[in-house]
Amino acid sequence: MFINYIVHILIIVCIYLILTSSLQLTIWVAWLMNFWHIAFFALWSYTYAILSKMWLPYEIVLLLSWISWFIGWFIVSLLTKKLKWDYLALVTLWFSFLVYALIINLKSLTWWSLGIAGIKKPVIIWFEMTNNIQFLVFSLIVLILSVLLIYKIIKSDYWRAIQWMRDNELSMNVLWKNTYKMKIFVFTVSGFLAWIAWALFASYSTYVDPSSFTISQFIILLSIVIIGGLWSLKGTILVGIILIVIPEILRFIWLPVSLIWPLRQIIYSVVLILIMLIKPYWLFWKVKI
Amino acid sequence: MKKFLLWLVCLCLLFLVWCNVKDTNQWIKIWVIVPLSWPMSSKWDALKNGILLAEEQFKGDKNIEFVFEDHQYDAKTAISAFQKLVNVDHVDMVLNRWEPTSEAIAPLVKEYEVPTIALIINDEPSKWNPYFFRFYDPSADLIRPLPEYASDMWYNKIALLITENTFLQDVWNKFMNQANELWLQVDLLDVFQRWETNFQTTIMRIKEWEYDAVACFLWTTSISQFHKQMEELWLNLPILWTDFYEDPAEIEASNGTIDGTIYTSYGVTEEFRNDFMNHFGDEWQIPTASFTYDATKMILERIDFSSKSAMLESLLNINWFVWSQWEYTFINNNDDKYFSRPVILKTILNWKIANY
Repeated sequence: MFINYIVHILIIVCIYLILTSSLQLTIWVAWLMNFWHIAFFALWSYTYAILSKMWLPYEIVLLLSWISWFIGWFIVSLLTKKLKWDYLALVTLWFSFLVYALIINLKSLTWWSLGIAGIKKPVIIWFEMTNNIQFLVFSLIVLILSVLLIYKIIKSDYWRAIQWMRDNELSMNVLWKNTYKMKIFVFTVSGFLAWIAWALFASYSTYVDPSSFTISQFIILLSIVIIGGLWSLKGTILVGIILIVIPEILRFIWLPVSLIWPLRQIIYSVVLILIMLIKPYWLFWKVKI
Repeated sequence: MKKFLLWLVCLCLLFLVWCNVKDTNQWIKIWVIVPLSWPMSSKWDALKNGILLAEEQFKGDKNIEFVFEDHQYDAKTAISAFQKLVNVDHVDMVLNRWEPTSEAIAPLVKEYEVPTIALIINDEPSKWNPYFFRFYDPSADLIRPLPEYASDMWYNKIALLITENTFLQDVWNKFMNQANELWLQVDLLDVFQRWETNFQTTIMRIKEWEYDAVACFLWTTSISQFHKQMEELWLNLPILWTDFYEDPAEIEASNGTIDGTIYTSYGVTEEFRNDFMNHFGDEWQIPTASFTYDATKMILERIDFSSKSAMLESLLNINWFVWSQWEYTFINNNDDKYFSRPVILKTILNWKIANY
């Protein structure tokens, strides 16, 4: 039975690793500071949840939610075409608030803050996942494919051009390179991976509610990306595992009830600070700040 | 040196985890999942004291252990907590407080067949789940006396303010429907977030549009701010509430401006009130503590823990009982299973809770 608990943690780890890898792509690799990940998490989770409640085949649900993702992503990318660093961050942050407000006010679709329960588990070519171990295997496969995709992209020639754009966008424009297309490419890959992660989460928990899509959730993802290190996929994965597992370990710590619960968050914060202070250079960081 | 520090921290954590290993396999474990950290953690003491009082008064010989787990008012955390409780600690029953965590763990309750008693108002989780029982009336029954009171008092035009929250969402929606049935006009003026404390614009609109009363379904930290701003802006209207207001911190922070408001809640017997005051001496905890007191008494005295099916059977066969909150009746209505009790009107008088 203990293995079921471990399986649950591993599933959550897989989902968060896909998310943080996608965020790493935009923030560190392309230096596009955006906060709309959490907004799109909400949109896609709810889209997936609403469609799955319509008793459509799983493949149709995936396809339709992918189409909705693509439309939303494309529109927003178009709107933020000329924005850079600070302005991009602000606009995407406010977009997140906009999406949150929509979710909690559209009664007929999202049931306000009551959330949507009873989301179907994935069905892959008539194979329905009935237990967590099957779901873990599926999540691991998706994680490996996602990491491979990111790795392939990072090692490609096109990515060198994107890095050049990151370091000096003006010189790229002078050379008549389409930097906007590059940004769209980064956003698209990142958004696609995030969509996968949140569809996974919605189908695993079978319940979505607005409280899962607040800015505080995004801060956890951002912390993993930042602590994981600049341009370091390995660091992101390692730190992601550590930061997600630590709260679970803290559940087992024996202290009086009146003390442990307030202390838990303090301990978590102290561990984060210690990691930042210690900064094992040889493992996490490709470039020292 | 840095690596040494890192290893030291890991070893300390492992040591503390090892200390937590204890053999209580022969005990029946009831896990109480409540928000022990922000938000709503202010209710934690009251919830705990209700359980402690019930345990103390229990004269049986069951080896029952009540252990507490934190859900931080977050669905994902609640799922992780539940997974740990069931798979590592092998709980026999779960007592959960508040949405949306109950909705999040409901599928797991069904999957792992763990009888769960939830102190929630939303009836959806219990409708399709044979192991899920609610310890609260449906929101329609809970809020019914309020529009009826408004109708009796001729409050024909009511301004409605709400905070986005699962509990309040359900309640205000039912309030609006019932008020409309009684030919009362209810206007939803604003939806606030939990952290918002500036209501001045809304108050000015209420003044300008000449409402008869204000239905104030706000979050606990906003209530006192709203009342103080009402006083500052010279708005003096009857206020209708939810039982979120039964919070001494809010009443004290409002500096007496909350006096006279009306809300629906549950009463408690004098016997329970006296017992609780003798033990803990805090009158403000009584309404919240009464829930866990009654749930605990029911678990200790009426549940047969010999097997899962026996637990379920005994829960379904509890037709009625009387403990702190007058008479309970078990309702099994279209698969919504809940323990119902009379809802009454209450008010705040001279900074204290009183029956209306």
